[in-house]
Amino acid sequence: MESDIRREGLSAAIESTVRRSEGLIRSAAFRAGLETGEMDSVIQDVRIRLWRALDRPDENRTDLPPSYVYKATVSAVIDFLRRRRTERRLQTVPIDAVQASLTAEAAETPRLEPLAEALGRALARLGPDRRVAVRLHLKGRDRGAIAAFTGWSEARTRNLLYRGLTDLRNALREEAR
Amino acid sequence: MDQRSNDAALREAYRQLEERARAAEGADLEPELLAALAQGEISEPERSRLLDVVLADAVLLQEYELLRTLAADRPRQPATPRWFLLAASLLVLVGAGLLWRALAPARLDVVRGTTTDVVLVTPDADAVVSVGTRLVWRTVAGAVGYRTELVGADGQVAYETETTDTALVLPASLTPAREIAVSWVVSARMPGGNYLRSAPRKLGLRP
Repeated sequence: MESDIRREGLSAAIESTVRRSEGLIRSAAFRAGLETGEMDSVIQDVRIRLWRALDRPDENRTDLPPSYVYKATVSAVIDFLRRRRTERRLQTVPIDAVQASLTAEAAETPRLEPLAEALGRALARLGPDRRVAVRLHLKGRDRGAIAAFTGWSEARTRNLLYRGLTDLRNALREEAR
Repeated sequence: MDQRSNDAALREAYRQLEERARAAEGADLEPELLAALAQGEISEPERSRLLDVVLADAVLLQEYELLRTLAADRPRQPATPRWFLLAASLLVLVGAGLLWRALAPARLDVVRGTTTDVVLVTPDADAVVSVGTRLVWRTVAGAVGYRTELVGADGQVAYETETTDTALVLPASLTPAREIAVSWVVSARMPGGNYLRSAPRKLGLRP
């Protein structure tokens, strides 16, 4: 009886936690360009992890610290990413289809424009941190977004972007000679 | 060409480079490493080197963005006063580790599936199963046993058993009052005592 009451309390507490995590997980997936439906297994995995942590004879608590819930969520996402990679690798395609696809691709793939070729070579000449700043700039991200993406300070971001773009221009000029 | 049109031309050229890179086999950074990167746990210059690898691969970039968004909302630990840190260090020096060891069973450990080498074979996702249905999964090299769990939609374990075989027939004792949704999970027990887990697969379980 006491055990039933405890499980009822646990169930309500865990569902409430899972609902909060679900919103965060689906919104992160959406922002990363993933199908939010792909996150169903992650959410169920988080739920199972929380039950395993709390539904034990030596465990009296019904709530979990937010840091634990975060770790369980990241752990479930990491497992999801690994599964996704494995599934991609396991996707078997008949060899004839691969051959046909490669032939068609070779015929259809446009050659890179000369500027893109030169840009690729110029980017390869930059140091990794400047290249990261320049790549993000070329992807259309502003300085604030670059700082958020990299974890750099605003000053460091500004500096690397300025120097990276200068290096890039110089490298492209040399390419043009 | 002015600055703006120059930038637009470079961005278009970069888009072409990305298209070309998309067709190539991407680099393989472990998801744990991506998570550490997203959580700011990797210092320069390794940080920039890894971000450069991430930016060159569309799939890695997507995975990194997912982990980064989660990390941005992670709970912050309250700042700890310096005197407290000093006292804690001294405690460690005089053997407080023993105390931690004594408390260890009460600590919460994140249940982590270290890999996804357990591949479920049949029944397919969303199949409705009942007593007598055979569940089958692939062998995991080195596994000493397999734990099969059917977990209800509320997260409670409806059925749990351990076998050495890679198949299991649902027993007569498993008869729910009405059809319920469950997640089927198989964990392979490895010699070191750790488990490798499958992805949960949704099934219907009918009386």
